[in-house]
Amino acid sequence: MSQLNFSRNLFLEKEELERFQLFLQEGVANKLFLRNTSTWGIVDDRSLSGGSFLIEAGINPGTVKISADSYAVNNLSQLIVQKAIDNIDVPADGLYYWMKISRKVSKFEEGTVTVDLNGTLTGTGTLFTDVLRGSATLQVPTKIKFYKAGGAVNSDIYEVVNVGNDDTALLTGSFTPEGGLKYIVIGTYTLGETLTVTQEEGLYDYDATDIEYIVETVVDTEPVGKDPNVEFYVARVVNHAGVVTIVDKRTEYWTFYLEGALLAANNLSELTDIVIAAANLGVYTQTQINTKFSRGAGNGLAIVAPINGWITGGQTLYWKDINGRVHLSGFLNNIIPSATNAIAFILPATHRPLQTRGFALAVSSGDTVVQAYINSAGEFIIPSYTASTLIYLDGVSFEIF
Amino acid sequence: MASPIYDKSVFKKFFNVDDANVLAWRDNVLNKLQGYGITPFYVDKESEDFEDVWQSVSQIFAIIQYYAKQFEDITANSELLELFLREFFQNFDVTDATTEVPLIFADFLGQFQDRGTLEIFERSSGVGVLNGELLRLIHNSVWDEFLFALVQAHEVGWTLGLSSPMYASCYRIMNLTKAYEYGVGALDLSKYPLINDSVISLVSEYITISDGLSVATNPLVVFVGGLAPLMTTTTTGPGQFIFGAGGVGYAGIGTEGPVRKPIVIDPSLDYEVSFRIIQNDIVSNDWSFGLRCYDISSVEIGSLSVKSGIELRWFIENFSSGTADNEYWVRGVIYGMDTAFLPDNKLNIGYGENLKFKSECNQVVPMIIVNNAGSMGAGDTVKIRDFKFKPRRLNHSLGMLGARGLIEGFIENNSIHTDDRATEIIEHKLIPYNSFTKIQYI
Repeated sequence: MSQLNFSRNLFLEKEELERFQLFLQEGVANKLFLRNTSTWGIVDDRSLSGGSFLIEAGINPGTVKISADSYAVNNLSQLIVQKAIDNIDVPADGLYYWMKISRKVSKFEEGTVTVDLNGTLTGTGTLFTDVLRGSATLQVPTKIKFYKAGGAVNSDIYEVVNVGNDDTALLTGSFTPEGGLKYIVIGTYTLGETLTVTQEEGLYDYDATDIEYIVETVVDTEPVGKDPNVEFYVARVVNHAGVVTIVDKRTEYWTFYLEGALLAANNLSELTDIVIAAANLGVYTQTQINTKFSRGAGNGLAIVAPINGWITGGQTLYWKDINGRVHLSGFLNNIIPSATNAIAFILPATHRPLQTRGFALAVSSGDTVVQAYINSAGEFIIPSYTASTLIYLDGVSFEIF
Repeated sequence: MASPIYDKSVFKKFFNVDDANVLAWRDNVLNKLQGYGITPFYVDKESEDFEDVWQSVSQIFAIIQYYAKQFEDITANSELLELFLREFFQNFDVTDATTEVPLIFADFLGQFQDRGTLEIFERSSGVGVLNGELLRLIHNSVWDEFLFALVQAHEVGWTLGLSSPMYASCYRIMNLTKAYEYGVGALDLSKYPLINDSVISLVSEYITISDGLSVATNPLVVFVGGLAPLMTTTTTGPGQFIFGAGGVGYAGIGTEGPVRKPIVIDPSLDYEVSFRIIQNDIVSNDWSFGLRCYDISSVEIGSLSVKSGIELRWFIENFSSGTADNEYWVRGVIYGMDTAFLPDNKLNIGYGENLKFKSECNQVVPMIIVNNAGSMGAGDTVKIRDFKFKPRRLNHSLGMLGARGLIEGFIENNSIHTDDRATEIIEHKLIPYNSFTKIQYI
């Protein structure tokens, strides 16, 4: 990994620290992870119902919402982050729009705040203890400024006096009571310095999402002009007099190469579907094993279908055990023995041995046995026997390999 | 008699060619040459030629001999003494050779001992005592800005809560404090210039101004020379320094009569004046924060608003903290005289205006005055601590990792040495070998 060589008496300034930050961003793990990306797009977070950037109807008429915190990755390795948000206005002109997301930088801290006449700051969903620092504890205080659509009345830059908890803090300055404010951390600068425009814009850059509506020109067809792998469509929406219709258009997902040992399951996402995953891996679950190899009716057990004048008592059966060995049970009988009808039944291809297997079968009269065998075609053959004598299959079993 | 060749020689610095001592030695030797037993019999010792030759030879030897004799007691010859000292002190440079050179010679070894110690900038305590070697090096006077501060390891580099690499503030560098105490808490009231100190006490390291304010007597005339009054809350006439109506009073840090405990500054530098204040009642009393500026003769000359350029002495006047019982950190800046006006400038607390020096300013007294507006009740107090007067910023950021032995300097160099040469001498001769300097020459 690229690195900054720290040593005593080394002067560290903006340039050096920016390089240091860059080296951290371009660390080996991060670089390899990103370079192994197969496709860029929405992070299909299966922990979320519906995944990232699922667009749903908002609480207010004519709006949509994103219910869960959502993520996407573009080909610049930048994260597109959107906290859950409601009441995103949809253009109310009855036209179909495609909602397009891309990355932007946000300067705003989490939550909204209210400030009173004395500078007492009350937050909702804020994290004051994480981002603010007050002078009352002999620390070097941070400064903040407010933002509100249409302009905040309290438009100055204010210094923090103290921080009570994540939701309360005290500022110093001249205030008009005002609510619904976003706030931006300016940071702490050497006293008496005139801040540059960039410094006044805020100390932190947060990953955020730019949501743009692109009008549809061809029915149900993605509008052209999207910057590939940088911008992603998530939905097709229309607002008819406050009634919003939404069509999910999330097709570009961030995927990752997985090669080598997991070829049988080259898409691990299928592990969420047990049947597909087991089939990919060629294994059975315990439930499948219990079901498949149980001798209960309909559970892999089958009734032999006799041919050539052979008959059974209806309970002449065949099945495989858990190790794949084929078993037979029940009896056979034929009242007209003949050399041409020696084949008593034919087992299905899944139950046939690779080579012929032979058996000695007990019969119902006398103390003799009859010879029988099964070939690779699944033909169960009894070459010689006495008419109307029951021939018992119980105990017959063979490997199929 | 003219002697152009002699006058160009090294001897001329010490004595003339016809110095009586030289001539006496010459004549003595010549007499011996003319006497018995030195020169052969066949030489005519009475001839004019003999005298001409041997008198010249004798005179040359007399000059050399007398020159050598000068070194028997170099204290008797200021030039030799200075030359001698210069051999040991490459930075040897005095403002007054007559008084300083003998003193340096008398404490010759002591001068070496003082190197690497605080003695190098110890100011003379009176006649017969030298300034420290560093002060002598830069020809420092009591009216020159002089800060030479050893920076503690945690005050530079990256130390959580104390120092940050790109920050350039001096606030956390304790030794750059010019007044009045080094710590956050106030420990010694006697170090502060106080007004109406009968109502000021020290409580838990806070300078506490109590409800006894009503004892003060009004009005007090402080300004002369037609300058505008400091405060105009209740003005009864030009040049009056009046707080509140009759019967109520004021108190605080500052001076109202002759200059007391002034802080020497350089008007080209920016300075920070800061303190922390707690009011338990923000309705009944208020406070004002300002600066009184004086020239070298202690004549008050005022200061300017850095925002508008108008005459202004107060960073903020008749102000109450935003809330009671919360400690507010108030920081004002008085910018150097060459600073361009800054239209949007405010104090860190979001109110007031920062100030700017006039070019003649050479000393200041900060003012923090609590004003009883008329209803300060029993138990009302205003508490102040962590008063600091320091340079506003360094000329470099604190971005050094683990720098040890760093010395920050704000120095006016009046010597013949260039700033670079002065730094070289300081680093090589005057400070410990494991120290280095970052000096801002004014």
